[in-house]
Amino acid sequence: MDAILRALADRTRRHILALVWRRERTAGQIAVEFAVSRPAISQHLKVLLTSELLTVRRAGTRRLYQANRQALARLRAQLSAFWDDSLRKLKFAAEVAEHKRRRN
Amino acid sequence: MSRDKVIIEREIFIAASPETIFPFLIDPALMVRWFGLKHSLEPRPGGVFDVQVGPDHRARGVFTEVVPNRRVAFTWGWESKDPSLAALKPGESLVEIELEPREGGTWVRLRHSRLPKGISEVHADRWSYYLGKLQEATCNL
Repeated sequence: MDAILRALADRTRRHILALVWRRERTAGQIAVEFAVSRPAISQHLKVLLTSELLTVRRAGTRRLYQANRQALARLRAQLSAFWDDSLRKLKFAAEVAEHKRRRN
Repeated sequence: MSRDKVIIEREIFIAASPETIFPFLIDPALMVRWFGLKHSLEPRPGGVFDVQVGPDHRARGVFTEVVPNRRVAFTWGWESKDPSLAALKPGESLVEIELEPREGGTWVRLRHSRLPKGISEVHADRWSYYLGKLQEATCNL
């Protein structure tokens, strides 16, 4: 999860993901959308691939990138877990408070 | 994102009175013990509900109902760097928490509605998972 959050913390990387959310693009097609250098884009692609937010496939000589929407669904699940955790913590905190109140 | 009528409903029994539990739902000093890192809460209809949940995630909405020791409702959405979470915009969904006193404690019922379909499915999964774990933990006491 940390790797995913770190990958998403960068604005350019979030824009890259949005670009390849619905359709595949090559690194060149991605790079033309940005003012930063081509090597910088390659570095961002590498981070996104490592965190599994991005997938790549070979088509002839081209490498096509696309957002890994399954990984994003996983992230969503992990993030929504805070809710469930919360109820459990509420139970614990309120029961401790009740115990103290009764003792006093 | 497509919308449907999916509603998430969960309940948990807490061995404490509604009078003990209620302040945890509206007081930042107590809310921090079960949910969120930083809170800006104005517990009255129309008042701000703004909770920093993680470094990059903020839950925002407004209180729609505040009935002391009984019921709290607030709208709910994300301000987040994750595009799929950010799809649920501040104020878009609704969270209702109800306290029902019973012998030996209180039933806490949580209802999360007006969710976009994709997100609510994930919420429901996680709810079941954690309630199952909670039950296990309680049975082993």
